[in-house]
Amino acid sequence: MKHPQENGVARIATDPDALEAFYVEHAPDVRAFLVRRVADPHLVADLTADIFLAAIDHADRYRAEHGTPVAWLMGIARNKVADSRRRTSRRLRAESRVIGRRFLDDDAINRIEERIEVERYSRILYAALDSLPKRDRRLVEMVGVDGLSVVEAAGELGVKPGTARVRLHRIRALLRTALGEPSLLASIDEETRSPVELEVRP
Amino acid sequence: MNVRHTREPLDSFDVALLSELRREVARRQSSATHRRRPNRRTLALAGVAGTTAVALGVGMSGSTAAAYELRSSGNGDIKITIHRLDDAAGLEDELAANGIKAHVDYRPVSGTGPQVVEDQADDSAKAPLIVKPGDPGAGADKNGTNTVEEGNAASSPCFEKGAPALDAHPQGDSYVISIRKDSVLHRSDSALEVTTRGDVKKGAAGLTVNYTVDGALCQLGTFTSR
Repeated sequence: MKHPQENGVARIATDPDALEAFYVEHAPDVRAFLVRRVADPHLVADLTADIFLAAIDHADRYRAEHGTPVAWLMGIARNKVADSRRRTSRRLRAESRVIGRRFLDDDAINRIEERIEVERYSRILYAALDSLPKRDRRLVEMVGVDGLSVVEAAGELGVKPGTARVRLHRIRALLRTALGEPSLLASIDEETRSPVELEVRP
Repeated sequence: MNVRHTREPLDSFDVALLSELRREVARRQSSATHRRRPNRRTLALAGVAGTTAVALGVGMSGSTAAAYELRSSGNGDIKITIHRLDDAAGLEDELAANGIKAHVDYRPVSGTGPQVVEDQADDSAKAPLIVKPGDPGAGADKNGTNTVEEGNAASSPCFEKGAPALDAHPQGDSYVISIRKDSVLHRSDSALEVTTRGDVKKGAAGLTVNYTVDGALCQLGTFTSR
């Protein structure tokens, strides 16, 4: 028998009301994810549309035993952001059925720009994260930035929770060293500088 | 950090995008239903319908020759020649590279066996039929096909400057789709659909060319083998 969450996610491809509930539930997570990685409000809008379209397209592939819906959606978001860095925005738009930036008005642009500004520290943190091996970077992004629990992140990565905890401990030490380098932090205003906390939830 | 985001009220962007995504899901449902139960009535519900039936010479996969050819002229016109019902993904990618979203699917309709949705030899059926968008019941003739007076092409979402988005016709053993540079298919809210009906291997298949524009399904024709 299918897990109820599995059915719930699968329905977003066929039931507009189920899609709306899914969007209302997860749009804030997607927006937060994007503004920590992308500094252009138009690209944030395009990627938001692409991420939810991909979720609709692949809703039947969601498996509850592999993670929560939000972890699955963040996996999609991660791929879309990576895609956006590989391709030109024109090519991305040509391939999108829905162009997110079409729905932006001035107020919406301002709101996203404010969020982008608030998250500038996070984007610098990503410069440090880039120095990590890929599997470690994904783990720390999921737990330390996107708010997944260690169990959720471990499920997404296909490793045991204990293994994920050990890796996080090692990563924390590495990042503390990296963020202590003055060159990396030079562009951050004094008042926004805060200790990096990678809180580990059970 | 590490705080799951609480519900936020939807802003104007969210409302507009969500509305479009809801339409997308509804379109998918409509398209899925269409593929499961193709019939004359479904064609009549299209935003624009010009139905044509000719012998389908396009062969199955297996040959080593190129399955299709896509030529982009210097002025932006695109001509696609389908030689074989193969490499659907390659055609989709190449169209995307030329700024056109496309869904190409040569797989047989599953579970329902061979289907031929159109098998009209009557020349009169080749005349373009224009249907008022959003008014599927208007003016249905005895065959269940909607027709309206000339002149509505300009107001149909399926047309740009009074012309349909593409021209499609068989040519020898191949099948040619021509897309002008000013076609609505270059717009972001439109997409080309090339699908097969029935099972090619069983000799009872049709090649259907549709396109969607802003939620309206525009059908150009189904080409059937006999």
